[in-house]
Amino acid sequence: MLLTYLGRRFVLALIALFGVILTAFLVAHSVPADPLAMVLSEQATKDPTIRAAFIKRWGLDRSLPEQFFTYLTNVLHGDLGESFTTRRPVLQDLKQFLPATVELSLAALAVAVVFGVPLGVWAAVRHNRLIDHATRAVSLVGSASPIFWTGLIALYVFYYQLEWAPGPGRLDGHQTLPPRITGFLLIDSLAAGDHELFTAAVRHLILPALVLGWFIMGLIARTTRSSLLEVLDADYVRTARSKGLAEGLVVGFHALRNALIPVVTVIGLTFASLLSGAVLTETVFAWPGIGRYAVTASTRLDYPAILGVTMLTAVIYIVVNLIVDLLYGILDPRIRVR
Amino acid sequence: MSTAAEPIALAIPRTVTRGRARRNTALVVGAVMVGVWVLVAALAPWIAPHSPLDLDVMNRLEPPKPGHWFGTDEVGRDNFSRVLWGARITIPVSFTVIVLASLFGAVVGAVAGYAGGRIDEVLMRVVDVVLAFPPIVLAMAITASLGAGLRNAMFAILLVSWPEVSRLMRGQVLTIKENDYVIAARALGAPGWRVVLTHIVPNAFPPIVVKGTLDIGNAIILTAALSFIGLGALPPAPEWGAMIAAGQSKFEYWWAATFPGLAILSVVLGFNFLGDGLQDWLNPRLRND
Repeated sequence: MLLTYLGRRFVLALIALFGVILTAFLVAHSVPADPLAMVLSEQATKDPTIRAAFIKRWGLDRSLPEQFFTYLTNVLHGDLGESFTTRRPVLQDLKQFLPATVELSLAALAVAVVFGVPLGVWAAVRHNRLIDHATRAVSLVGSASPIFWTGLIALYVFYYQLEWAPGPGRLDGHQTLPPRITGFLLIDSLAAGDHELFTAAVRHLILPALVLGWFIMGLIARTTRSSLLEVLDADYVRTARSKGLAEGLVVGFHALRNALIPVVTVIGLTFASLLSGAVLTETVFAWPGIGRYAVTASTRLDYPAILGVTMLTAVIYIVVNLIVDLLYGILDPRIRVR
Repeated sequence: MSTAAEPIALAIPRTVTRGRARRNTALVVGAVMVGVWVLVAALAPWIAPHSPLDLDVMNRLEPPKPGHWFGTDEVGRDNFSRVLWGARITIPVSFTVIVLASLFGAVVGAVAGYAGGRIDEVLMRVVDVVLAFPPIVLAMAITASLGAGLRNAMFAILLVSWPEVSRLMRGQVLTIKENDYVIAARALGAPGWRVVLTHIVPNAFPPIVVKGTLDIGNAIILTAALSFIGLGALPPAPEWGAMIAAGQSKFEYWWAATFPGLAILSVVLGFNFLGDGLQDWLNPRLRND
């Protein structure tokens, strides 16, 4: 049973990946202009040998399905084309910029879980009381504020007015990146034994992580709340209470463990919001991740770069949700029986 | 609304009425907030004290003061008037996009749910694929490919907004088509399209309307985000996202970005309240309790 479930989920993920590549191909094809002029530099467009080589590489002289097949083969071999702003293979750019995005997203997710889950628990325990309404208000305002604006306001208050937070970027202006091992600044600075650099990296991470984390905290708090409310009605919770168990133990030990299962799914689903939010947060905070790379690329009409990021984010989303679904199937055996 | 709720209130437990009263507050608050913004959009040419486009280079980046309640921008345009005029762009744009996306999504979902089998499987895999992209990223890619501008941004938002509606509609249809009256209609020989249009769709629609209301809020944020990046409304249009972009990194001129952001926040909050309130009002299960 478990294996069929895993197998089906895996096949669905593969189909989705195929669809993602097809979508990227179709979007690239919708560009209403000479694709060579879009992808090659002005000089290269005029050079017949470069034109011929490019046409051959992407199979532009063949039919649409054949072109797609070439594109698919190239993508599966890691060839996403060349960015014409950085003049490097897109895959190489993505490798360089992805760690910054992952670092920011994970920090934001940590913020959202660390504040969101207790807030949800508190709201459920004090159902329909002040804290419940306050949690609701926080998540409503959080989901209604455009994140690029929240980021600017946060910078204005905490950087410009109060001077509590450092300015945009991953490090202070005079600092240089440590030798690159993982690309994660927190890890690389520690590996280099540079504590000053590590502290700067942490200080720079806090504000964007709070802004991005606040954005999804409401969702996590609301899910925890409704899921816990449901569990608190269950028979085994009533049994635990009637045994005279302290309320803290009932909630923390019996109820929360089961209530958190849907929260795991929501964390998977919020990944799309997290990545969406990261794109705009990075823009505001001059954070050198794939989001800012994509924004720069899209304003300079750098199609291979935009499509590279588009595909990468979709792949991350699919993989994360596959992992979440698999975890879910293991955590809750009832799911498998379908 | 309250007169309709009164007689039922006698029959149901107090906790339920209290919950409904709170949500009806949401409906009223939401309707008022959205109503005010719709009025602003309709009346902007008459209530705005200045033109949203007239330059006044002698009064650049003036802080808020009488006559310029929200200050002026980098070329001396009145921010208050621009925020009011911005409603004329944002509200019709997001409303149109979501109506179209909901209709398209509902048709796809209804076909998938009613037909079932292979058609269902194929349509739902397409939905999965679109949902795998972070909305802003896919919208950025589409807008960048088609060219910056409000019309292309609308098209992009439409393309990323329909799949969730399809999923919802499909679920609705799957539940409703098992009902006796649908089975009866089919047994009487009604053609499939008539069963769907006259028996299933009217009953499946309330949640779609609720979702549409909430989606308008998302579309407003997406429109603003695309304009913020520079792919949506083009200058000098008084679009809120574009205004925030113009005001970013000018911290000493805080008013430039603050007020358009508050406009987005309040109108989106209005639509969220409205959607929440509608959910309760349109949910027949709760009404017939």
